[in-house]
Amino acid sequence: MNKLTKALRMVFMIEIVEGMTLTLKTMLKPAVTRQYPTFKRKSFAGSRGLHYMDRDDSGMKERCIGCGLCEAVCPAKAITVVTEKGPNQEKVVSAYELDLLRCVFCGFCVDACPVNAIKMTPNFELACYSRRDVFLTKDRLVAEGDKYLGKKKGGAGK
Amino acid sequence: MENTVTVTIDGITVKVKPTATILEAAKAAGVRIPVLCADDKLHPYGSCRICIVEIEKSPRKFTPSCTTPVTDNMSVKTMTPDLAEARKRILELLLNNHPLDCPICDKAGSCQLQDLVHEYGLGPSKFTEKKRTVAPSYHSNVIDREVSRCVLCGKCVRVCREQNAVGELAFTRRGDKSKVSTDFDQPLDCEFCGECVEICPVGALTTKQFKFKGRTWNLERIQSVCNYCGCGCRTSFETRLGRIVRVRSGARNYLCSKGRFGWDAVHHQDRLTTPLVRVSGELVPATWDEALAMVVTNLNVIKNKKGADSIGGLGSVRTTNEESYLFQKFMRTVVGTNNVDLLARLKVPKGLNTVFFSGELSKISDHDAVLVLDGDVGELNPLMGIEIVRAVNRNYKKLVLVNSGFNKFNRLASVVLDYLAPEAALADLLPAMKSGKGGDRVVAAAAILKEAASVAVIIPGRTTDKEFSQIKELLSLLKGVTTYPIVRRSNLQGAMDMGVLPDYYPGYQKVGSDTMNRFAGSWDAILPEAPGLNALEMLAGIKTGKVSALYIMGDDPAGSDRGLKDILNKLEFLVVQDIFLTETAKLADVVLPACSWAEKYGTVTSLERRLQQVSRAEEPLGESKPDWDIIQTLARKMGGPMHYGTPADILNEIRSMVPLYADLAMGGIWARERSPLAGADMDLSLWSDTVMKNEVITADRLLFSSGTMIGRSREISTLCRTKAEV
Amino acid sequence: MTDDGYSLTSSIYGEKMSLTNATEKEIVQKEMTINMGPQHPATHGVLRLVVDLQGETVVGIDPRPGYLHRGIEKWMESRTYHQIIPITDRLEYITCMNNNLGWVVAVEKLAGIVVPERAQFIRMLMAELTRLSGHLVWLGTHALDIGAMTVCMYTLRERELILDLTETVTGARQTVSYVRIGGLRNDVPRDFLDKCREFTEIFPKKLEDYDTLIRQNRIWLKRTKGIGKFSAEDAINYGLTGATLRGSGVNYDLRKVEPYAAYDKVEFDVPLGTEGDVYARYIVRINEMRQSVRIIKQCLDMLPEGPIMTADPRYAVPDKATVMTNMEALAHQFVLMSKWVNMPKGEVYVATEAPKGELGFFIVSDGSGRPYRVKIRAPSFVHVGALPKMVTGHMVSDVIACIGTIDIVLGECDR
Repeated sequence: MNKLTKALRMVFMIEIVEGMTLTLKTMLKPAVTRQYPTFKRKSFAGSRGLHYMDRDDSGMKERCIGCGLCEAVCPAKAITVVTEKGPNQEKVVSAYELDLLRCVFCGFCVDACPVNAIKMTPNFELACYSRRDVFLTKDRLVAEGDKYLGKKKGGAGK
Repeated sequence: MENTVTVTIDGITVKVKPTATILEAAKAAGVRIPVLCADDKLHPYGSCRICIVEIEKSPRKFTPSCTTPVTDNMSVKTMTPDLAEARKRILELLLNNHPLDCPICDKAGSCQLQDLVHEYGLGPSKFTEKKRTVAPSYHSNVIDREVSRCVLCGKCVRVCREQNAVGELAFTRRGDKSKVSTDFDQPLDCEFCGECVEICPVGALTTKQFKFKGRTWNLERIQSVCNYCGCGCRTSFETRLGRIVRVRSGARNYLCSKGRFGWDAVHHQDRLTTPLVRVSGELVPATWDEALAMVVTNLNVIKNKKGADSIGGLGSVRTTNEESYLFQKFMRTVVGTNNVDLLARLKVPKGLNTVFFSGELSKISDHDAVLVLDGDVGELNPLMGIEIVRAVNRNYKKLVLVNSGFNKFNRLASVVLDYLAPEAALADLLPAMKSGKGGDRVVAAAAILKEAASVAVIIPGRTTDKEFSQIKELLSLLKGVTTYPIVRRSNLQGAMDMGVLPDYYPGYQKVGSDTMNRFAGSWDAILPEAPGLNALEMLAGIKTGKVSALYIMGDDPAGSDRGLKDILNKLEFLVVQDIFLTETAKLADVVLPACSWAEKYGTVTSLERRLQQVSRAEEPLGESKPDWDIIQTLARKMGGPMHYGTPADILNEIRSMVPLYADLAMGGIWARERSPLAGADMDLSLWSDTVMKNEVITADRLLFSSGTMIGRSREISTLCRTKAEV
Repeated sequence: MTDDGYSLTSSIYGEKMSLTNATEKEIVQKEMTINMGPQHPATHGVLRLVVDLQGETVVGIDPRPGYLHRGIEKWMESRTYHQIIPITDRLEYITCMNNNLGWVVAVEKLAGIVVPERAQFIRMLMAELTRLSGHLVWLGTHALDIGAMTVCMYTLRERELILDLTETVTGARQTVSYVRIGGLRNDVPRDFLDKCREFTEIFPKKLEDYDTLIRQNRIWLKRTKGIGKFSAEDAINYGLTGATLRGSGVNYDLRKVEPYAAYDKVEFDVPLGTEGDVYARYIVRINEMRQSVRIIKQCLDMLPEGPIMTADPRYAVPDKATVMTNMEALAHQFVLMSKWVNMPKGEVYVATEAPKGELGFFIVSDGSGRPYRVKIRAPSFVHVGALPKMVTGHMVSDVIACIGTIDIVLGECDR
């Protein structure tokens, strides 16, 4: 019996037919492929994409206090923090530079920051036309933050 | 050995001196005991109590190991659960008042408190009280005090008093209000050596210079040598993004304020970045090719017109050995004259390298007595001064001081001979040594010196002929003498070793026909036979027209002595190779920009005759080049065969030419017996009353009184209260 | 064959024989050396093979790995133990979570860190999800190489579900850097468990679909049965591990032998093959996916509550909220992030069962915050070494089937 079934399957190419049936059935189902960039998937909260810098409580300047932990922990050495002494003996972050070409988006800088200044947006579309565009300065990071947070607020209806 | 006791530390048995503390015994056993307030430099103090240990059969539960001497057959445990818990509590109490400053504290990353808190894994504190805050003090020069961060270990107080004998810092107030401060909270008024900053285990003392410039974990450290005086202290350049941000002691020993803070002259805005040539009376920027072509043409014209001996070369004490060697080789083989000398020989102690050879500075404190013939030694050679203090404060040795003024050594000295000049003091001391007659003080001093089995004698940097013979006489009366001549100029020893002298080839080989033949063969060149003019003769020769061109590498005679300006103006052609547009360079026809010592590799020889390595911490500024490279390029353009890839190649040649350096390892000292001049009755110093008077002096401190570089350090300039020009 | 491998011309013209003059028979008899890769799409990366052919039969094969060498082991020496976590992502870049886990388990053994139960379960859950994703990529590409194009479309569709799950937890699809020494980067989001359960319901059905497509397909059978046979003894001698070993019937699974994470608390079987050929290994991997789903289901049921970071403050990255309010936490944060812990001195070798096989990390610690030396025992590298034995005697097209069956990723092989 077993042998007979096997022979029949062999002759009638049953396994091929079964396979083709599955293919045909799937053909009739809606496609799962997303037509990026026409269709963009909703990003997940906490996805690790482009960085941004939060503003401090006054909203006037960046939150970063220049401790340099992000630079220390960055495994790709993508971050450079330059600080100097301000007029009132305070620590001033004169430059915060993030080289996205080096960045591996591990999120260690976000984990390391003691004051929650550097954060990440879920924005993964980072293609650009010049190398200058992937070099994030402090002002650009703050601007990215404004853009991202503003959008989020707007999305919530406020 | 009967003089040891046996101690068991964590099961490891060691034999140590009976005077050793448990902490020292543990170090010998290779067991680490955490400490905050203990330091090798300082006497035991026992304020932090982190170093507690358990001693078996002791009625006391915990004993501080840094202050407890060992006893025979003592058995010590350094790490038990109880100890860990006790240390945790101690740290918790220390943190109780510690501000959350890590993000803005320059010490974070190398902070001993932070490391200990992490090592012992402290959990959240039980204390919720408000933290004590004390206003920081920013009004001192150079050093800031963030008092809130202080853990009151007292290291700064003690290093200032014990090591430097200054005692500027002290604890003020009491109880929980106690803090480290100065008299009446005035701004600091001390030597500004910065040792207190170096030794602070936390970030309570910081330098203004380094403030917020970088984090300890992303600094690159380059070992080098300080270039400000003859001591040759090892330094560590710490750079951030390719620029020096801090200099610390490389040997963790000592740095003076010049060594620690004076490096910023390297970043001065007046640094030369391009060659300059004189076009119709004005110095204008030029390319290297233009500038060197001008040098080649002019030197050749003058050589053909008036002979090679109408050209002179003045070397420098601020260049490396390799550069000095190459400079004299250039003058002798390419230009073809022995007119090569150091103006700094005016500042050589009489008898250096013939009668007086310096011993090792670190061994000053091993002598039974120290005789200081120049009370300004602490300003002239600061490390020497520190070693003298160490001899008295740490090793309890006797100090005999000859000092016309009053300074910290007066407080340390057993006997002070208060004479205006060493000559007068020695005139009284010598009879007292011989016959025991004289004033009370002189007799007391003579008694100390006679009793001592070994004496370290600090020889003044300048002596008259009379003093020189007096000192020589005195030395013959003492036992176990080691001399320590004061050498102010940094690589003076190296420059002389390298033969930047008109009558000596490298290695003090006298210019003569047989040495000439040997050097001519090795250098593959024709050498002039007669000894050349010395520096003073060259300057005099300019007036008489005997010298028409000068090549000055890294020296500034016109800056020290205005009178020389007119003389140098008489020259047909003057080349100056320097890092700044000095007074001399302003007179030059061609100015060649050189690298500072932080931007090049090479070796220097300290006053101990110790060969040490200088390393590059920064890239050369602008178009400036290392001196050896400039000379080599110039030599090639003038047809001389010089092909060196690195300073190491030059050092190899030096080793083959100079017996003193033949097998001298890096960090080694060449033996005095090997010098051809040892014991010879001659003098390498020059003497002139009229040339090179130091005209720019600072009223308060000799330490800052000289130099093209130190005058351009911003930090040091804040320390000079008054600057007078004579 | 010469060392450079480009010996096609020399082996023919060197014998003073030109192609035009040679008869067909002579060419067949003549051994021919051809170069396969490093740009060959079926070599799963940049593997270069120098193949000696007798006609269409492989008589010798010489793998030349190294085209993706980035000096990772050396690189690790200059990074702290913490900073190495993202570097391990770049080893076997399909199943990063397992690499993270392998590294972290090794460091934890070196330092003797106790990891809380919840973290262990989440680690195991994520590792099994990633194993599924890795096996799906393998199945898709393996089938694609052999000629069954459709399977790849299906497997990547399901893999997308896993990657979405991974992203909701870790914030990244592939290079996750999720596992931390002593615990995890973050707890799983609230809706993750439901989503994951949903996935475990769907996925077994999808596995049936793959079976429908190829399991009994006659071409598939012809291409896989009896190809690349490895006896159990040979497999052990060659150091094969993982499904490649178990296809030969050796019952060796590190999750059973030396349980890490919480593998000793869940029930699962170790699927074994008997024949040791490409087909047997295919069956083993398909069954492994079923077991993975089983483990995931148990994880979801058993997931305990509790912390996700070790209680030892020396190793636990402090909670963000406490860092700027608590001096102790601030000190820990600074030391951990800037120079990491001074680890105990010593050596440790810990191996974990990665989807490809035994992934081992050998760490030599000199007592500082950075390893003195790290050696990675990469299964892909060992498996590439088994290729000559596996392929010799088969047709040239079977080379492709064999590369597929040993399941290599060159990022790990070349390091």
